[in-house]
Amino acid sequence: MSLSLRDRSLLKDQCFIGGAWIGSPEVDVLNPANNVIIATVPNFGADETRQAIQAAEAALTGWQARTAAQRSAVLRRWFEAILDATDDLALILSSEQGKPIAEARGEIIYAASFIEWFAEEAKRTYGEVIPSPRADARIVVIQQPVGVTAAITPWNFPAAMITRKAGPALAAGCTMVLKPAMQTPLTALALAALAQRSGVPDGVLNVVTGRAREIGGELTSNATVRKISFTGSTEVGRLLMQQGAATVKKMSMELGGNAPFIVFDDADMMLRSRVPCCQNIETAGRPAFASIASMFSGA
Amino acid sequence: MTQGPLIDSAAVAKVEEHVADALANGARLVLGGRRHALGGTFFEPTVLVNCSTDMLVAHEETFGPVASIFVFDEEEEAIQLANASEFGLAGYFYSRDLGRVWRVAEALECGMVGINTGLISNEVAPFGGIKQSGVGREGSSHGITDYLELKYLCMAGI
Repeated sequence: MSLSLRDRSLLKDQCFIGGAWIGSPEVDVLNPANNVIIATVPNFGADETRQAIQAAEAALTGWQARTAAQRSAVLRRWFEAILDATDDLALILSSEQGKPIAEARGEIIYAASFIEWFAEEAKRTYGEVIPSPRADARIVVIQQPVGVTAAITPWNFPAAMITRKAGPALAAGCTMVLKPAMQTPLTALALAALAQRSGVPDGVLNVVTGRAREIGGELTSNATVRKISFTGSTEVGRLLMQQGAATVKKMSMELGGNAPFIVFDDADMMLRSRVPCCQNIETAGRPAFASIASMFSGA
Repeated sequence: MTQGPLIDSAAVAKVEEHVADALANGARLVLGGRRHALGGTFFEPTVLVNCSTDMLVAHEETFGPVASIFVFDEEEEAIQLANASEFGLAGYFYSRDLGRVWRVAEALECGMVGINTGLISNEVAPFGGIKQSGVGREGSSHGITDYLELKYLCMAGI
């Protein structure tokens, strides 16, 4: 299927490693609404992931040496590039993920907000001065980037789950290897293309698509990777934590949910009638934080 | 209301399994419950009433357009039902009683609470769960700390 994009170059069929677009198309990305092929992306594994980690490591010194204000300026340009491409990104996202176009647009704007926010927060990673218990000493605490990081992101929010990891990582001075869900790699690759155009240096952000188990295995076991940030199921989160334990990876885990939605008998009647059951349905149950159990007071 | 398809056939199979399990265990279907006439991975908006804690919908993520409705009598019972889960991501409740708002918000075992709203995600607030819903927070001023290390410098000989 040919998407009617304003900017065709945002539809990528290669991975992004060290500033280069590489790999050959092997895995079809389908539109879940009609099973039509949107694009075909590489089926990378451990070797290419290692290559991406090396690229992220090579880029680390230069990126963290920039001032916070310089990193902030790059992120600000990326934020604006995402907003400028909202229509195209929303179409790519909707096509590969299946959410209605209005919701997809909403997600792109939501996703962009994390880049803007962390462009601003980049300048506020303050340290501390602590009164010393010794007369001859002074105590200071500084904050420094963790280093090479990895992100593994899900299909339910193909843009926002990436920006809220890549935004703070790049703002802090970290570099990143990203593995998007294989159902929705095209939004991730388009975001990477915009990052490249916005002046994110080669190797600072890398995107690898392919075999989840192999890529995850390399990201969790490679000692160069200092941190993993994962959004997905509790089951996979547990596995990644186990795999990362050998190298004592720092972990950020946004896992499953089963959110209660409680309506008490004193609730506003207008709200009671309008909201309770709808959230799960409007989004076809995609957010893990959407209500699963709606409870009504029987009184 | 516009609704898209589910992500793949495995997702549809899971929703069907959850609905069948609920119905077999005493739930009543008041809306939907089947694959949509559009075919593929489209599924009808579904409402189940008379749900109970022994059903899959009470313990697992359905990840589909299913509202499973439980009925409770007392505030304490609602809190117990809500907390009887390995998960602790978000919780939502509707109340205009100021005392109850604080009591329930503090009692819910989750990282985020929506009070009189189901829309809580934004970049300025910390998103994340407790219990087996995760570690760390994304967004907000806390979101960047996950990517920073503290280094303590002790300067002596002054």
